[in-house]
Amino acid sequence: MNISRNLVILGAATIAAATTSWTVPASAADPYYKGKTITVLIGRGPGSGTDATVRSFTKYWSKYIPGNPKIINKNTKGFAAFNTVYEKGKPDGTLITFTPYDPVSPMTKRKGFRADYGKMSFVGGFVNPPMLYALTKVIKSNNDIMKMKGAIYGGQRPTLRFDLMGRITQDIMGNDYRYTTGFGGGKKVLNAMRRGEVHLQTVGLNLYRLTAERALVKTGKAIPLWHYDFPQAPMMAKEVFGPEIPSFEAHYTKIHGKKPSGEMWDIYKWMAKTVNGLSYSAWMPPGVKKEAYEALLASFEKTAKDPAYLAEQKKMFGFNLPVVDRATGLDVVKAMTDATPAQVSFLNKYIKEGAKHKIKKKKKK
Amino acid sequence: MLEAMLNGLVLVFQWPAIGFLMLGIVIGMWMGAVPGLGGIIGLVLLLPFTFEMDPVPAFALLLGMYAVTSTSDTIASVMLGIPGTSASQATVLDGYPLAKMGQAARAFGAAFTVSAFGGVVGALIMAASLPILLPMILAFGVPEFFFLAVLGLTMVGALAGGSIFKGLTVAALGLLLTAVGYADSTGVPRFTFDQPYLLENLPIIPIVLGLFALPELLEMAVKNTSIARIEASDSKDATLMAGVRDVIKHWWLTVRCALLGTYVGMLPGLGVSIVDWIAYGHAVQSAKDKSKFGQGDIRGVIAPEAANNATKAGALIPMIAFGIPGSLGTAILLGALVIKGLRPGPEMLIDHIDLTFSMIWDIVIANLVAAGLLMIWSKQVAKVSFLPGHLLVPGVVVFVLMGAWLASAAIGDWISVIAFGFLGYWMKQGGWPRPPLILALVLGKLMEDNLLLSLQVYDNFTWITGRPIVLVIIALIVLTIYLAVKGVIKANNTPKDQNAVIAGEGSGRNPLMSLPLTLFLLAIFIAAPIGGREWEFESQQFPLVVSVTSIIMLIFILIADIREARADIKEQRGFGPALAASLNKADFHRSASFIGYLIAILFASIVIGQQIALPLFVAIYLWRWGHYNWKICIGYALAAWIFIFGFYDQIMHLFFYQSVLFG
Repeated sequence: MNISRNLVILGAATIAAATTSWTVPASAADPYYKGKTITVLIGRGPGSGTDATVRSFTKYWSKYIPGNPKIINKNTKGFAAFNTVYEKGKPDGTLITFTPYDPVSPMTKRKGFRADYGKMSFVGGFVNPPMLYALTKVIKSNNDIMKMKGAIYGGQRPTLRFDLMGRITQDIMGNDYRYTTGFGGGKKVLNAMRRGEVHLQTVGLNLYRLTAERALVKTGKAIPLWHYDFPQAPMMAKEVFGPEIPSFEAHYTKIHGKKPSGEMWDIYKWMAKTVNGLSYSAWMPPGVKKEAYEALLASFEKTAKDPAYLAEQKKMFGFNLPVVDRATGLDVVKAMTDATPAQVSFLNKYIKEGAKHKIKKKKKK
Repeated sequence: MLEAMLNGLVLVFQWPAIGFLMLGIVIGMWMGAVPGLGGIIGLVLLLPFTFEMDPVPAFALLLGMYAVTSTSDTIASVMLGIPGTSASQATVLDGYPLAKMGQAARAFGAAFTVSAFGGVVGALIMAASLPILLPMILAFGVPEFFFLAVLGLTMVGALAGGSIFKGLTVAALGLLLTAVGYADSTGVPRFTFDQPYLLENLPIIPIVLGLFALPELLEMAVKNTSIARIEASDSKDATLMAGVRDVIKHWWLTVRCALLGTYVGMLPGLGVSIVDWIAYGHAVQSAKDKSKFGQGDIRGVIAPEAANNATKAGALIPMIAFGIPGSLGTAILLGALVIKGLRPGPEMLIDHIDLTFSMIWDIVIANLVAAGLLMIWSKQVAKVSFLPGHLLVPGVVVFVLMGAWLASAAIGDWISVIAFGFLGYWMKQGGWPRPPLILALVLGKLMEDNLLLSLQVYDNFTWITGRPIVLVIIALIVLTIYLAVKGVIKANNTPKDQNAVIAGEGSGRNPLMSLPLTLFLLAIFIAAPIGGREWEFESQQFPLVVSVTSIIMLIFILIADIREARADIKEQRGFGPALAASLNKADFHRSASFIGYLIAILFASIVIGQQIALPLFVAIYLWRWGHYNWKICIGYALAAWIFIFGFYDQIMHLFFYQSVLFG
């Protein structure tokens, strides 16, 4: 009997405590986010590059948001981060996403992606610049690219932008390669590279610096070939990659003695603008309150310049991920929303072709 | 080397590292014991707290927690028949029957002893094997992973119980379920029926919880039995020490399974959820007397528990030394390493060797301490098995449903757990073994992905003929199948003791319950290839092969079921009486009523929210089924609410369903 009574009292006390904590009002003069909690949805698993990038950022972010709200990071599945914020996010700005930007899914109308970037509010982002490297088993120097025979490209998924960029540059260059896909993750392709099963991989610079460079390039087992172009910020790319890793355009020009051209090249330029300019992006739901948006927008830029944060990021990846401000981010999104039917049709056809697993399997001479 | 080992040990015992290690161990024991939580969620929860910490205490906290979840997960597996984490799925098969026989303490004694042994051996062997690890890991390519998955699947022979055809068909259903969602290799969504929940592959936790936990809860509720089906006074010999003596008796099995876990654990992609099945299968196949497996054979507890702790230790070193995470858990630990500014690779073995050894010591100490603490507590825990079933059922239902909800925080998780709960009940009554479904679910994606990759990467049949390890694995597959077939023939030729109590998985006989399930599965396997006829060939081939094979097996099962059903009808003198007897044997009406309660929770959650619906269920169940007084009903419901609100909401910050009434 006593136990029951104690339980009732404990329960009532908990309800009272919980209710009190929910209902303490913030005064009108307080900053908008004072006393609030922001939940950040990360659309990749714990331990992933995205996860490490976002968590290290949000650790410093609260300091710059007026009112210093509590920030909780939550990992979700692929599309769920965007869908949840788009469909369930309230205008109070307490639910946001900071996740890999995905332009391919809305463009190709992939099942399951229901968010509309045009209606959401872009806060800021980072670029994790993608690049291509190859095993020395198939190519000794990137000047020998046209001598490469029967190289196997290791892809993650036919719809992934890394796969698409990797294939299209191989096609423009006119390489003899075989596209394989379905590894399902960058680290899995990297392991296949280490085993020598595949010879070419497109990776984000963070995975390259963190593992591929140390395990394969510095041991003489692989060489970097090129980085993909950044029409929005070509100088930034030069800075990040340094002179030893040229852009695809520069490398093509060097190999073929002329600038690339043609339909495929036009598609590449459009894709580079659409998919390369933004990697990890923070978004707020449609119709978010102005004061919430402005608070996060301003604090994002400040956090991205925080010396302690930058030092920590450099310690993690060996370089600082370039920041994408609002104007550039919106420009990248516009490139996607302005896609012509011909461009979208090409993309769909190209993805379908990739999914058949039988492309570019040239006969050995 | 020796100096580095000692330095590592000194680092662990320095304050505050040792304090964080102990804290991690306690948290880990909790995370492992509650179904649906586990080491991954624990790592995610603890990671932010380590940001400001030095590496040694940070990893003491993380590894202390992570290492022991596969020790304490035995509690739920043995006591409730629910895998505490994915690492103890196979432990359920013999652990739960032991609890039913009032021998939970014995199972704990054996499980905790081998868990400690496995964890320590795994860590030490990995440390010693460092020079040969990288070539070993890199020798396993996509063809080897495909054949390893096939080898794992041949364990169905050991898990099929009474009917090998039923076991294989259930495994095929598991393989088909892994095809649900987007395929990595083609980007095509399969079997999604335009449901967003199905796009991202079916989460395994709700299926496991539904398939194993709900049928047991249902039985407890319907029959109002305690977990143990005997009196406490009849189980005095089944002590913790009896379990320890079992381990000494089966020391060679313990050593073999610890080694198996260690070396399989280092291979990327083969996690604890696969290893425990492989170890269980190995225990069955290597045993001379297999007759007690599935009915409370202590070797069925020793094998998976020795392997799963060793696996975690085994996966750590390749992550530290080569940046190759063997599992999701080690991938998170790799992330933690990176956040600390440390790089996996030779630096960790040269510049940070003391830290590396401190991490190995963390695992060793955590395993020993956790086993010791659990040994002390488990005597009390084992007493729970003698509590009235009605007092346990509502609390466990809350754990099961919240555990399932953790998978993706979508209503689909609850639909899955209830649907598979019903399927599990149906299978149990109809004599269909459930474990092969889980085994196939764990292995299916690994199998399909690596098959398609092997076909793409290698020319012709070089992925088979040109690889010595593949040939060795194929030889093992052939040997396993041979032994399984030999076992079936031997069993069929052995005169059956009509008085023997047959209680193992898949051994139930109720043809009028089995027949509709056979027809249901037949319909699924016929519909699957038809539904996928528009896909690219690459997306079709795996489900097609699985379906066609299953249809052939189902025809044989159907013939056998019809024959048995006709015999039943004849014996009962008509279809009506036979059906009534069949439903009666399956406690169908009360079982349907219990499932109705679960469905009611689902709808109530949609309307009033989970935080109200679940405590409401607790109170109503205790009142209507248990006939307890209102004080107990209200008190229990309030405790459930405090737990849901305090732990899942305030600590885990779980997203709850936005209800119609309260948002």
